[in-house]
Formats: sequence, C-alpha cells, structure tokens
Amino acid sequence: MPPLISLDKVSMRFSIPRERVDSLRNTLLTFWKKRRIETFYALKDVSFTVEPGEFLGIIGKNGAGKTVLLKTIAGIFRPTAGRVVVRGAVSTFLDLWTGMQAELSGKDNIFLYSALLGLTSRRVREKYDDIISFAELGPFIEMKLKHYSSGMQARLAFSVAIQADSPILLVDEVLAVGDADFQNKCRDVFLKMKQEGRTIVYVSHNLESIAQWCDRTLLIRDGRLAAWGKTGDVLRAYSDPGWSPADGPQSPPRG
Amino acid sequence: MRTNTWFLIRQLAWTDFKLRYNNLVLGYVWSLLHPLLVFAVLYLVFSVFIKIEGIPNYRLYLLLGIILWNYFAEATTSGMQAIQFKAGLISKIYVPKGIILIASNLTSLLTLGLNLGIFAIFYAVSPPRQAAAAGLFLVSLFELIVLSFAASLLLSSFFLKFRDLAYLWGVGLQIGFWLTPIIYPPRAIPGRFLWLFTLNPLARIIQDCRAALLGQGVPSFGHHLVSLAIVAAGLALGAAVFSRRSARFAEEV
Repeated sequence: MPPLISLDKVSMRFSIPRERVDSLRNTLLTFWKKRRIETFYALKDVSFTVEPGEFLGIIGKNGAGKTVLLKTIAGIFRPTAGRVVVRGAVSTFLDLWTGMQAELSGKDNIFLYSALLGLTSRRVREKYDDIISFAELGPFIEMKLKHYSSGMQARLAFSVAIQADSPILLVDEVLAVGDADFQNKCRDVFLKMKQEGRTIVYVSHNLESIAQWCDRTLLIRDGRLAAWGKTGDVLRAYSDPGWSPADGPQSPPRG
Repeated sequence: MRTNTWFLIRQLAWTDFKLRYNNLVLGYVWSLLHPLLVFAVLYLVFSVFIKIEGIPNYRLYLLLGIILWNYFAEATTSGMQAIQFKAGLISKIYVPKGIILIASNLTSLLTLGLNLGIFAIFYAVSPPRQAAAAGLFLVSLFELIVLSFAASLLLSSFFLKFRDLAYLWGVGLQIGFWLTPIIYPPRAIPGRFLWLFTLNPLARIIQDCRAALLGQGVPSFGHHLVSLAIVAAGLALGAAVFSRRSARFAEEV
C-alpha cells in the first residue's frame, strides 16, 4: 500500500513586508519606492511519508514550524516548493472552536461545525443524539453558544469532532485544553481511533503522550527535518542536550 | 478532498443568513423594507415630482429594477469581503475558497427570493396586460446570478491585497445605479451615450427581466445568446483570476 501522506522536498516561504501594503492607495503611493520584503522559510526541504494506520508525532520548539507543517499537509497553505500528496479525506483539528458561532444555538453549531469537519449531513443526523448525550448538553442545546461556559463549549466541540470519520486526522495540541476529566476523555477517544487503524498526525509539546501513542516521530527544528524515526530514538535525540545545538526561537509567521 | 461540499455550502449560507438578521428587532423584515423604502422614495420623486412618461406599469418596472440591482450590489459587496470575514476559518481548516463565495452569494440569493415574493404581491394586485414569460425571466435571472458571482470572484481576488476596494466598489455601485436604466427607460438615453447601455451587461439583464415579466417587447433568441456569452466570459475570467489568487489567501488574511 502506498503511503497515505507523502511530502517531497516541501518548502514554505512567507514574506514579511516591512510596512504592510494592503490598500490600493498605499500601493500607488509607494509604487516607485523599492519595497523591502524579507522572506522567511517556515519549512525548508521537508520530506517524509506517513503509512496507513500510522500514528505520527511531530515535536519541536515553539516557532520551529510544526503548525505550518500541519497546515501544509491539510492544504491550508500551498507549499512554495515541493509536493504534498494526501490520499484520502482529512479532518483537521488545529483548535477546538474554529468556525463555531457564539450567536447561534448549540444545535445550529453542531451542524455547522460538522460540515466544516467534513461530516456528511446524513451522518450528523444519525449521530445527533449521540453528540448531545456525549457532550452532556441535553437541556441547553437550544441555548446560544455565547451563554455556554467554556467547559460546555469544549465538550460540544469535542463531541462533534470525534464523529469525524475521515481516515486521516491532523491534530494540533487539542489535549492542551480542558480539565483532567476532559483530557482523559480525549485520550480514550484517541486510543479508540488508533485501534480503528486510522492515520493520525499529532503535534504536541507533551512528550509523554508522544511516547505513549506515536509509532514514529518527527523532530523539526528551524523549519528543517532534524530527525525522523522510531519515537524512542527521536525522543532520546531531542532530550540529549549534547546532540541538539542551542537555537533561539524564531518568530512564527502570521496567521 | 471533501465528500460533503453541498452540505457545507448550505451550512455556511444558512449561518450567514441567520447571523445577518440576528438580534435585530425587525429581523428579516429589514431585508424586505430596504428595497421597499428605496422604491417608495424613487416612486414619489419620479412619478409625482418629476413625471417619467410612457412606461406602462411603472410601479412594477421600478420595483423590479431596484430588486434586481440590489441583488447585484449586495451579492458583490458581501462576496468581495466573504473571505476576509472567514479569516479565522480558512487559516485553520481547509475549505475550498470557491465554496465560501458560493455560500455568500447563496445568502444574498435568499434575500432576493424574499424580495421577489414582495414583487409577486405587487404583481398580483395590478397585473400587466400581457402574460408573463416565466421561462425567459428565469433565464435572465440565471444570467444575473452568474454575473454577480463572476464579479464576486474578481473583487474578492483583489480585496485582501487592496482593502480600500470596498470604498471604491461602494462608489462604483452608486454611479452604476444612476447610469443603469433602473428609474428611467433605456430609450431616454441619447444616441451618443448609448454605448453606456450597450456595454453594461447589468442593464441588459435587468431590461430582459422586465421584458419577460411586464411584456415590453420580448428579446430575440440571438439577444439571449449574446447575454449568455457575456456572463460566461465574465465567469471564465473571474474563475481564472480567483483560482490563481486564492492559493495565497490563507497567508494574506
């Protein structure tokens, strides 16, 4: 079976204009001026593959390019150079609330959020009762989201998110939110997804959870692939101070 | 890769529609009230103060013109900024950018539907002598929808880079409203300004809609072919520009 995800020499370059020119007026006014545009490589020549059923961890310091990498796999960013091939439907969880609307009811948000996560309308209708009972929101479901507590919002978002039936899941630090109880729930769900043989790419700072779940792990530093292999080996390399040269954190790109 | 494109479009459009009139005392009534108010004022001025002569069914003529123009103005203005309003979304979840524009135009289309309902009431109260050619009206309406979508594609392609496009387009629409035969008939335009009318696809479409519903000279088959060709060319241009530009939207928002 071919890999589900493969990246071939993928680079992602962002430009950081000194003065932001985003109006026609400014463009005309500064037309003759030499515009200084600094560029910055958030990813540089990254190549790796993810096999079907694999649980891949991505680790690295803040600003190393982990989230940009995830967004590039998800198709949110188109790489400046190189090729990204993804075979199959993808659900992306960069945070739990993207796309939810405070002014709409919990019920409306279930449908909107499901659609964004790639669920079909039929599946939402089938799973609607499950979603509400798992989120423990029965009596509040017609209430506007803005009146929910943050715990209720997280439960609602999570209950919908776990219904995503895409074979590929891209997950960024979702476990970082919520109380211990919520995190336990998350863990159970991820274990179940792993057992179902779904392919998961998981970005985290939590090395314990990486060690616990990931078959292979990828270490990224300054936008480059610093290590990729068995989780144990990569974690050892990451924590060995002699191995890793000191590098200052880079400012992450906008957006 | 998505298997739920239509579900997503529906959800986005419906959400926009609900949010737009959320928390307003009169809710959806605003979307009906707006064209009616414009109509009332213009009718008073151009039917009582200054009398525009020789248009049968002037009330219907004017109301239909305003409703169709409003759709174009509203759809393109919202469409232009739709990507920006969804900034948080497109930097977090992969959504084909065209879907966001389709959903935005669909929201405006819901408003158009409500407005045409009002027009239907006026029509029923005082129907014109000739029977309406509903089929031809739908053809012209389709042209209007495609033309608005094409304009939305072009405008949104450049809006993220040039945010002042919103002001320019607002001014452009105001000028366009007066240069398009909405209040007056096309024959009021003197020969040397006739190119303004001929080069204005919107004028053409609005006039065809009126011809179909109010029966003022049904345009020929060839005339419709030309209109369809114009909107098809606009759509091709808009789609080409948009697909080139949209790859970088997630970085620009």
